[in-house]
Amino acid sequence: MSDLEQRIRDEAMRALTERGAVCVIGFRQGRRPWRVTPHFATTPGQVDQLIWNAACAGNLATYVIAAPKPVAVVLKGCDARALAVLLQEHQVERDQVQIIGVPCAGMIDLAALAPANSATWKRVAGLDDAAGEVVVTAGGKEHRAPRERVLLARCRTCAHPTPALHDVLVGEAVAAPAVEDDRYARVAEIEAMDPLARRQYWLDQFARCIRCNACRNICPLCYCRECVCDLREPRFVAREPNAEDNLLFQCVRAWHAAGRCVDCGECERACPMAIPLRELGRKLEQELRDLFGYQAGMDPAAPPFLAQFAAADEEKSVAGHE
Amino acid sequence: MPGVEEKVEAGQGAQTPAEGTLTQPLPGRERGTGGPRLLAFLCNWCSYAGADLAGGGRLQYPPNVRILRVPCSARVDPAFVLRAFRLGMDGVLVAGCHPGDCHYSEGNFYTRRRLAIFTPFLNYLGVHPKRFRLEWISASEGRRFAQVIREMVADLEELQRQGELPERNLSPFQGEDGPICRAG
Amino acid sequence: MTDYVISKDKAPQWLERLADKYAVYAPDADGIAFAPTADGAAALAAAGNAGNTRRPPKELFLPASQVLLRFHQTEQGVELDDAAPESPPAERRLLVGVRPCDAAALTLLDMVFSPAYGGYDDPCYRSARAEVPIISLLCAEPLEGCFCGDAPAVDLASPAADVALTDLGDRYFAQAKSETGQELIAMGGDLFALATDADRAARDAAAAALRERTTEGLPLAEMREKLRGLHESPRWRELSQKCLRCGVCSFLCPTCHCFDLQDEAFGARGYRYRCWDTCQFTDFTLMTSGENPRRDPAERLKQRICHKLEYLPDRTQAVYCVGCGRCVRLCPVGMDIRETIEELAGA
Repeated sequence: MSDLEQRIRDEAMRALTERGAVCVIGFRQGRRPWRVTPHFATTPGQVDQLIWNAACAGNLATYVIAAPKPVAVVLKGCDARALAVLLQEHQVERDQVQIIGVPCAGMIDLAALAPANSATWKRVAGLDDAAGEVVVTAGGKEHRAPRERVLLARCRTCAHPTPALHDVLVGEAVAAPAVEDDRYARVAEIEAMDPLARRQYWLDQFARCIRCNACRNICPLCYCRECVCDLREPRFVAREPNAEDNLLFQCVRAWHAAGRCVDCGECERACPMAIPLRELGRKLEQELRDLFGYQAGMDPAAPPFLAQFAAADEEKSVAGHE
Repeated sequence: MPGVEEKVEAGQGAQTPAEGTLTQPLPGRERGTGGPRLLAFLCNWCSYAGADLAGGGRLQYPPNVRILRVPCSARVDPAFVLRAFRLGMDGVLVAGCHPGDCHYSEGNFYTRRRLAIFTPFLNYLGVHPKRFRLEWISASEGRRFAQVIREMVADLEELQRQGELPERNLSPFQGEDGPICRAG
Repeated sequence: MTDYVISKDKAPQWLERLADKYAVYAPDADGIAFAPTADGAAALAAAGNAGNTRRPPKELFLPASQVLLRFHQTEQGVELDDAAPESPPAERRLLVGVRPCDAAALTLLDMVFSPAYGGYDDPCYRSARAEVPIISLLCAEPLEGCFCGDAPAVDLASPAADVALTDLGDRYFAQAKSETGQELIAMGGDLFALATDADRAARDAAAAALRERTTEGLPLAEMREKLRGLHESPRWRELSQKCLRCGVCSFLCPTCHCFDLQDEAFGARGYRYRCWDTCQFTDFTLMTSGENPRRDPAERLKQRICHKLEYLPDRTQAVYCVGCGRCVRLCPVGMDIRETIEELAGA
């Protein structure tokens, strides 16, 4: 068991027994060594099940709003920024949530280790991470891979691996992964297409969307009790999965997350059809950064960005005639 | 949107042959001319009044525009713009009071910030930049209103001539039976 | 029914003859969905170790979205453009490379959509499904998450298809399981030879090997009685706590079949369609009054599990989980129906 795992258990125990939390949200083992699944520990006896490894990619902030309070929750850097947005929007009060912050060296892309439809997984007996490496025990042998090679794409461009927002940090702060991927390269590639080709690109990506809503439901920021895209009277988006309405649904969601999305990447991980969802919101994130120098989730006390305005906005206006 | 009289024809075979700007009517476009359709969100207090002034003054502007009156330009959730394009609108205009003159004091300040970010996103989605505009048009600017509509429609007609406007796709009206979504 | 073998170098000829009569559908190159193929044998070979497709073949008969009728408004009122859901599809389809789990699932769906089990005679499903032969192929390797060995509806040695293929290395074992299957084999004529006892033994060994690797001792059939006593259990709340209420499990499940009916209208024209729906969505049982009998996620999880393992078995005597593993592999938060069943079985 790693240090991080032990410290998480210790802090979870303290949260339940000393700090008044009624529930600790973390991860536990699933039926296989690499399977992790959210765990809601409400008694000290359930704390032992908490684990931490390189497959803990899930963003547990998504459970905070509905959780019984006061709640303690295990959060990585990206997760904590999502929670910061929830605090900005007063969806949870700061004194009702105890953040057990975990510095994160990046989560692995299980599909990069073996293709999604591969039978290899059946033979995997263990998944561990040692310094800088991921070790997979399969078929009786150990297979090692340098961590950077099997990181989730979203972790490769992570700028905030250590949760700035926390009540307790269970390890030393870590530096961002030393991977030089350009975060906005894909945006530039897509913008190089002419408009109709670009439109066709998006329609092609979303033709295979089945409107399962996994992306929306896993997102910590999509917390509307009644989503506009579910409304029937008036109807905004067709319920059926056709490419045009699928695209409309995704664009509405990307827009409603503008200035709020922290690119935790859960939407893309959740998508059963492997649609590159993060590419959509990336443009909005770029505009916010370039035009306004704003990044979501950095300050839980800041008013939400699109709920404000400033005189200086005039310089950025797209109005034809001022 | 509820309560709005928007006579959008989901046309296919319902159009009469064109007389006017184009020799060939394009399916689903403006009835009578086959030309592009423009949707204009006009704020009640300034832009809509400006449009009224244009009408009252018999200023000429093309009939391609459909007007939706909103209380304030800030009422326009950009999702409405996305839906307008999904429904086959060729162009969308959002017009409001000049910043500083908003009837609700600050509504258009939100609009300005919002659309500063939304407009590049729209381009990113493959909507040609000439298909969407934000304008500040006051109640006394009837002439400006007519000019903006003329400019936008001319731009859209040019795009149409160059084949740069996407075909409308109201799926089952494309004439195929069977499942709408493709596997894989 | 009779057992045959066909050597792998003759299989392409057989598939070509089938392609003369049928539009052949097989798993696509990425293993995502069933798609029309010009080269059935290649598709079959490529299917190899791939396991089942991500999207289940149910979507060819119960599509994710399907127009039922179109209408338009006239001065007299609303008139139908056309309403021909019973018209057969333009092509005669044949599916090859269907896994035993999915083949069994199709027979389970057939029961739901037929009046024999108190179901409704669904003309759309019937016309899409009628006379579509199914050629199954046993998996060489199970995927992570597969537990078909525990599924009562799945017979790995003799899957519920018209022709059941098993890869024996240099040849396919081909069991004709129906008259249609016999006709398909006949279309291959002397490409086929009668199977020997040794062939049968090899087929049995392959099936047994797969069964052994996909059996976890889950008491699927016993859950029917067990669940009757668990409707009020507090376990449902714990089990459902991490559920996202999305549609991944149900949409990709080969036996789930709930659908929604909606109209879309644009001006004076419109259409009615049905599309996949799921009891897991929050608004599945939402009524116009605002009342929602299954507002609590615990209620919705209970519905899904009981529907598959208790209510439908009560009605049809079949268990509506075929152990295909899709929900296990694809649930974004790692809900695992195997864990759920074990948890409830021990409750």
